[in-house]
Amino acid sequence: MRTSLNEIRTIERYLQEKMTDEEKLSFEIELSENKVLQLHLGLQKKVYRLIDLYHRRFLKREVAHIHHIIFSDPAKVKFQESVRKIFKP
Amino acid sequence: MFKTASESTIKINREKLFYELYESSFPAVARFVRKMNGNFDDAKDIFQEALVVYYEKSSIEGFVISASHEAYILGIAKHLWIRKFRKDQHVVTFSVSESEIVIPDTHNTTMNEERLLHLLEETGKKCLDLLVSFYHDNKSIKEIMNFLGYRNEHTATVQKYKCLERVRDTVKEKQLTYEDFFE
Repeated sequence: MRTSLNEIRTIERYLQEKMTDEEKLSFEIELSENKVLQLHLGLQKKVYRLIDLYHRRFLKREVAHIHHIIFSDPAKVKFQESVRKIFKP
Repeated sequence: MFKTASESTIKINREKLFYELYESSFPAVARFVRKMNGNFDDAKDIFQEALVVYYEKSSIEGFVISASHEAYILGIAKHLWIRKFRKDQHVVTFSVSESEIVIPDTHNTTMNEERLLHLLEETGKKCLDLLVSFYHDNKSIKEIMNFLGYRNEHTATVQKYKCLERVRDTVKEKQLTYEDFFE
């Protein structure tokens, strides 16, 4: 695997707390001295955040789809009416 | 999204859960929103958001709740309502278990995160889908290997890191444009 990909794997193991104490210590020493590694660590955290947000967006679409199904299903008229009744003046 | 048997099982089970929770929990949230002078669309928005928060929380290992799922979702909805309408914070009452619910500050997205997501959806959707399969659908490297058609696990693993690198480089490239993303 390319060096840059190895670095990504190492950062991932660090962030997921999968390193041994020895590995962690050695990584943190390198981190304190290596500005590029510090930058890459910060960026990788942002990447995981974006993956989470992307997944959440996907879930929101799924939930919106369920709403559409429930509120357009003729078999669910009773449920639809019971909810709409709550908002009747 | 890449399609696999296990992926569709995850999706089907999740949709079933959302469907059941919609029927069991939406009326209580709707009544709460009505009490707060909200309308049907407000109830729909808050409830859907609450359902997503609930699902994300329940996916975390060791998740336990002291109340019923319905009561928990109502609690989340109340917290989301206050977050949206600060003026109501003294009006909304919480039970003990509801008051213990914590919605992370990171729940809301910034404008620049939205812009980055939009850009990534256009230019790197395949990678994002792959990464979601790894980190959220809990797929094993073997499953990923099968659905991508790779001959061995090493190639699939390398692909995951290549995707992480690709997204990282996009973020890096845009960091000067989208400065507040890095604040």
